[in-house]
Amino acid sequence: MRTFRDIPIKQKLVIMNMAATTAALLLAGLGIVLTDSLLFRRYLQRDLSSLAKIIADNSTAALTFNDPRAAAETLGALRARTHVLSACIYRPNGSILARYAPRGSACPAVDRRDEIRFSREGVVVSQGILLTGQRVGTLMLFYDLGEIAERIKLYGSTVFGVLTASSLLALLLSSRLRTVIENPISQLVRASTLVSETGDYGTRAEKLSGDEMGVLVDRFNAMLAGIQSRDDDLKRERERFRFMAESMPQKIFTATPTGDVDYLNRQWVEFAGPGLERIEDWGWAQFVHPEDLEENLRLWRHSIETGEPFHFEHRFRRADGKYRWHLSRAHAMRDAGGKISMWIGSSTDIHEQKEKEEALRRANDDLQQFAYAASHDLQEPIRNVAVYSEIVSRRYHDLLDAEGQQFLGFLKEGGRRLATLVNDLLAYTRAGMAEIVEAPVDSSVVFEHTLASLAEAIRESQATVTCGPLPRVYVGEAHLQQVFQNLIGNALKYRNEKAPCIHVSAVGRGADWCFAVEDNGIGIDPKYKEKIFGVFKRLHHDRNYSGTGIGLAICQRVVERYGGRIWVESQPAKGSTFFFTVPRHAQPGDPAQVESSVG
Amino acid sequence: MAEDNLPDALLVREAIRLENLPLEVHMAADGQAALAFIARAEADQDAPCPQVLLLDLNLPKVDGFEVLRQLRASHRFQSIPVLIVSSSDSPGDRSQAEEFGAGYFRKPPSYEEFLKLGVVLKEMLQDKGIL
Repeated sequence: MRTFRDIPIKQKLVIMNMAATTAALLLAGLGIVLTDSLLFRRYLQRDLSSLAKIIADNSTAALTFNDPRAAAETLGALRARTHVLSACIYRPNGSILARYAPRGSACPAVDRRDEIRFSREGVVVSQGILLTGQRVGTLMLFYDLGEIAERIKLYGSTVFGVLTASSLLALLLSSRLRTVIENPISQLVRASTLVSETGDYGTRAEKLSGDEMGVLVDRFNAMLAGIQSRDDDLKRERERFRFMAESMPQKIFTATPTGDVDYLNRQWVEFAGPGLERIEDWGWAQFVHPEDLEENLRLWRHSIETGEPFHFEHRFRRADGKYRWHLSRAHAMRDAGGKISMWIGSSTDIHEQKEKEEALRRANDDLQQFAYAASHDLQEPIRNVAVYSEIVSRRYHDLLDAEGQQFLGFLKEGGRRLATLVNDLLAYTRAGMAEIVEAPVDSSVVFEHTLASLAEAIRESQATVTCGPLPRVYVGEAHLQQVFQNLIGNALKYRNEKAPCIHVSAVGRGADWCFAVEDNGIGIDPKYKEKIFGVFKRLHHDRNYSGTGIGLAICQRVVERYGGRIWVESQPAKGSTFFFTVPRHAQPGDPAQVESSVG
Repeated sequence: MAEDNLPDALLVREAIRLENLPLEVHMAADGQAALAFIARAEADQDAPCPQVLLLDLNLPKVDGFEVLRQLRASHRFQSIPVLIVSSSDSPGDRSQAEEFGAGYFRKPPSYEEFLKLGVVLKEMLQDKGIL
């Protein structure tokens, strides 16, 4: 059942008008009837009192002379008053002198007080009959109240008539006038329905009045205008984004916060061919190379869950069925509350670059293998030269003249230097070969091993070599020792007249460990800061500082192979500090570059 | 001794001589010859039977590790001491030698250093109870 609250406003308006009109008229009618009946009582009181006085005055003679006929005549004058039920003239002793009762009503009992008494049956008037101030009898008058009832009836029907007529009039008027209220509301309802159904924020409600409804319509329209303007902005932004996305050389996509791809630019269509709708949502997965798919899905899901940027190199199948390498990235866009509203991503074709890199890597590997094999194979003949020139010098020394001995000296020295060079070259090529480090290596243990292998040089130079707390690192033990050995070895070698003082320390810096090897040696001129890391770069040709000039190049090669960097800070004559960084965490291994041994 | 480089072979002999090690040295100039020597000793009780193998890794025809693998697979010589004498200082070669239970001596580019081979060999034979 519909309650009042749910019925349409126009019906509500009619009902309200009718109720108000009826209630007002009813109250007014009731008031008039009540007032009238009160006034009429007062009038009746006065009227009856005057009537009783006149009758009483006229009855004095009849009573004095005890003349019932005269008294009856006097009473007969009451005939004109149809509501008089009875009238009696009492003698002083209470007996009735004359009586008037047109409908046979009994006379009211005598009452010696002059009064007018209302009762349910009617009005009783008692009026003393006086002769020269002496009471000689009493007139009792009995009057019915039918007149009041008649009046009430008359008024009642009048009120009812007026009520009916005015209700009809109110109904008519409110039916006409309700449109004043109803139309603006209907306008608003129509406009809002249209907006919600068509999404057209250009719709406006018509203003029909200057009252509150008019204000409401104005506000509603202003609100629509605001939304329309924002909607236009949004559309413009969307178009701008679309234009940008379409004109970029990259493949652009957007995805919902749950990772469903909901937009792909033209480049995708051109790349993947028709049937692009199959890429939407998670359909793109079937275009990813099967070997890349699992990791791709894992990373994408991880990004969706954490909001972290997505970054992956993978192969996408082109319309011709060929796979091409792409670098895909996606970033989460967040709203003001920090909630992810969408993902925007791009995929760049890096196939050529990847192929070039691969070719370069292969060439590097080949070169590496060649250098390694060559330096390895060179060892034997060089060793033969070095060792046998020594043997000749020992055993056949006396057979040679001074010049022959000098030449043999050149041969020996040349052989020795060649052997050292080839040895260092080997170390250098080996430094570029990756070692997959599965368990972290305790660098303080590697430091101890380095000290042991440098023991003789340390003793000779009377050096103090100390270290602070050193971390565990993901660097091959042999590689780390190469770095320590070269840096500490250099610090021992390039010393001044003071005994060398060398300190090795390490601090965590972001995702890296930063090692420092500090000495109090001869220092390095700042202009050679970069140069010293080059292969065969030697600053000192002095015999005091022997070496092949490959040690720092080896260090740099090792450190860079692990994704770190190496540099030096120095003050000439005061000392140098070599810094190098290595990552704190294990690096993913590259199985193509695992060390191979050459027998 | 399996060694293809005569200058090195002479140095090894000299190192043995200088330490007065009571060894008779048989030379195999490549991997195949070394394997043939072992096969002969396996088959013929009267053929010379090596007590210790000095093995170069970079051998023609069959490389040193293959010789070592087949030696360890043989019946008679599976546990004889082996000393690898090589130019290589690759950690990979060293660890592979260790897996086969072989000693390792890297050929140094100096006469005196090279002669230390005799000491290393002597210690090895003493350890194994051969001397």
